[in-house]
Amino acid sequence: MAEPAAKVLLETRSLEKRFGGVIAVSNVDFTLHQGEIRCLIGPNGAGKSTFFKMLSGQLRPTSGSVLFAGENLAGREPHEIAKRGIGIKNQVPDVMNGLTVRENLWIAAHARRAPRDERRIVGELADRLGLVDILDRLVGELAHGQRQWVEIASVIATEPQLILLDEPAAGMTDEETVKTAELIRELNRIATIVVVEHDMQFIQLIARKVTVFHQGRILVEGSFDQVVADPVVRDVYLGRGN
Amino acid sequence: MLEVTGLHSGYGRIPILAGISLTVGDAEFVGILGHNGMGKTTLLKTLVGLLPLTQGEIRFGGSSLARAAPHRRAALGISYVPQGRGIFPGLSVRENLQFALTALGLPAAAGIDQVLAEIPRLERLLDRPGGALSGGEQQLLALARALVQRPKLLLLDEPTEGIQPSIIGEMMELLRGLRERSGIAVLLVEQNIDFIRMLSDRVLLMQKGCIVREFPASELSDSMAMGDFDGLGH
Amino acid sequence: MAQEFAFDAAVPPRTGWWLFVGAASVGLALMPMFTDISVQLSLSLIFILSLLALSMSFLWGYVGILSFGQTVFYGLGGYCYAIFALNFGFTGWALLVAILLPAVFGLLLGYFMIYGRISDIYLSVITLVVTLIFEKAIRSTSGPEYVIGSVRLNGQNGIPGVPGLQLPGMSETLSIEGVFYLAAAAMVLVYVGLRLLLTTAFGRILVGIRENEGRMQLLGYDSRRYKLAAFVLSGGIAGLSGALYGIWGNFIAPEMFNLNQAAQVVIWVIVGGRSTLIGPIVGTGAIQSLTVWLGASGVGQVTLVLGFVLMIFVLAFREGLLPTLGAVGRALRDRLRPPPAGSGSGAESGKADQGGGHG
Repeated sequence: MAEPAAKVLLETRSLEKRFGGVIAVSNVDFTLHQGEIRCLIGPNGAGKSTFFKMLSGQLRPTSGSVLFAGENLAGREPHEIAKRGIGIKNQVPDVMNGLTVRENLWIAAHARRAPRDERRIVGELADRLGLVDILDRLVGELAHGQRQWVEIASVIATEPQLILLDEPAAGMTDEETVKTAELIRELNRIATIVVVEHDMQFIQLIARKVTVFHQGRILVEGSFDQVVADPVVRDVYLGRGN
Repeated sequence: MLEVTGLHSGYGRIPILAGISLTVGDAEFVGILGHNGMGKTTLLKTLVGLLPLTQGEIRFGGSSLARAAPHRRAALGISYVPQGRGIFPGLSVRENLQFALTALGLPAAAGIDQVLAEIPRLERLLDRPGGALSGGEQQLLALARALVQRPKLLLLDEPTEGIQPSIIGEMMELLRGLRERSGIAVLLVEQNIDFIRMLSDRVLLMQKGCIVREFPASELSDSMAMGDFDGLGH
Repeated sequence: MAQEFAFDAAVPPRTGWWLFVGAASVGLALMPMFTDISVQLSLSLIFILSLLALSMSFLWGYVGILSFGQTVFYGLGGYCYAIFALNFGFTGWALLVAILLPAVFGLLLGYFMIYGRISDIYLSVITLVVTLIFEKAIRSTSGPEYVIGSVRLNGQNGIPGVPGLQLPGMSETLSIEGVFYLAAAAMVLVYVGLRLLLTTAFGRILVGIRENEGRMQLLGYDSRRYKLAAFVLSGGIAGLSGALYGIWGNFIAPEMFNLNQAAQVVIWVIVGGRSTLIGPIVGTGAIQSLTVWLGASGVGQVTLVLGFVLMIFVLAFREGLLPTLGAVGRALRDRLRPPPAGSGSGAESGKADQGGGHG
């Protein structure tokens, strides 16, 4: 639980990203406290993934700053940002398709700065994420959802302080979604987590605070109930039924 | 319209489908549920011809598809919207749609206007390169690209993945409207129970490469769906 | 398109492989007893060129970098050996310099390309252009003013009289048989070395970078550093190849840098297959033998024939000789013993147990 006194882990100031004439993210001031689980929601094309990629270093901000534990990481190389303690699971499964699950996890485990016991870490991850039966399968031949699991396992292998999850419940059954929510709550004990998702039931299971993106800006922030009741949010995102 | 019997398929030495039999009638919506890795995507890929079948038979509109290449199946009226979208990132939205039309020798302009009327959100994105769209927007483009070919049978692999709730509602209305107007049939793989329940006539449950249960969509309740999965384990 | 052998690479080699290497080494050691000098000469050349092929194939198949210009390091190695040996007479040191200097050049060139974030296609083109620049440059050094120490570069005529290897303790330079042993040993050692390298963390990281450089960076690996290291390593191996060529033929020429030579390296690797380490060796042997045989049979346009061979392989046997044979072998085995039915959970995907042919 993030108490008001918890320190700020991540802060963006006037963060902006333009692609040619298109402004994908505009003047975003975002603050995240240590220990939070924050959900980012918003219409397709609102800039959520673009925002994430600026945090992970996959995209260079056009302007603005990204302060992580006080240090401005905007524009740094992705591997430097990763070493500082930010891990990201991308929207489209981003793993080593030509290698086995075991190999993917080994490489992720090896990247940890702390003493490395890759075999043990791989075993633990496989247990935790239900990958034991497919450890020796080629990742490229696995189902979409399974590849997501592999990516999530790779990300948590490096024990980042901040975990960014872009649609972690995509392509999962209700049961698997519940398991993912449990995993996220578990991870929250040692990491701060930001999740982009569309599945409202899933968000309800994990979020305390929700940030709504719309057309590249932050539209509104609040608790799940507050945000879901907001008329503009209903209009642009949730639709009449929800 | 579609008749599948004893279908076996897989990746090289790894068998995934272990004898699938199903039918999809004219203007029928059939949903497929199942855990990850149970073969749902493999089934759709085999039906559309991206994966060769090792055993079994596929009949579409009475004729056998077994040896037909994917582009032939598309010409016969099967359109496929893959998981992961599969749109052309280097082409604009308009060009993506034009491509789908010229591939089948259909007139370009009229087809695009029609699909834009069905999915208006793509209108303002027409000249944006596919790679610059967000994930959800790409999903809509992939759907539009399939629809613009006026298929008889639409194969959808998790169409609501990454789509915001309000658009999911619009998709539902769109597909229902299409069924009424053009008698399109749909084979739908989904994890979103509500979507499947409200759109499908029948639901098939896949496990380990086989269809283990079939029931009318009205019987699909959250707890029952969850119960089925729990009972069969993972 | 899983690169069957490549991802197996992280697994330490099985006993079968060690037996294969052992047997091959013994075979090579005994060969001079049963073959005459001309055969030894031809085979030595194949071993030497295999090193060049290995340097290119390692970079391409296991790191994902397509370098068209390994001949830069090959030519540099040859010229370094020649110039150093002719100036100072210490052939042992000359050999060492001939490995290190190309590696250093690889460091510089690689740094600019890799840290400059030059994309894959442009990198390939740049390496090709660099080798052609060297060829042109050396060709234009015919005049007497182009001298390093006491050695004239001699432009397109090349440098003759390159001394054979004579290490301290040897009464005379290496004989043809001696060169055979040297070339064979170099080839075997580099082959084994590369294979074992792939089992180390460094090797596995290289393969990871080939598979998905972005994800590796997101895990915290500075992919540029690893790619540069691999580039330098392959430069050194190609340099060794060039130096051995000088020792073998006692002659160095700018042809070592040219387009023909650069293209041949690509053909060897494509024919043999880049997803194994033994593939390039087989490819080099096959094409070299073919070239020699064509020449001996009086076929004029050898390059034309090689072009056809390349086309056939790119169209029909895309993975190269060895992986294709491997696939055929597996298909036959599956016919005789079909795999178990049911979902593929837990099944091993296509790990071929080649009888010793594992790269």
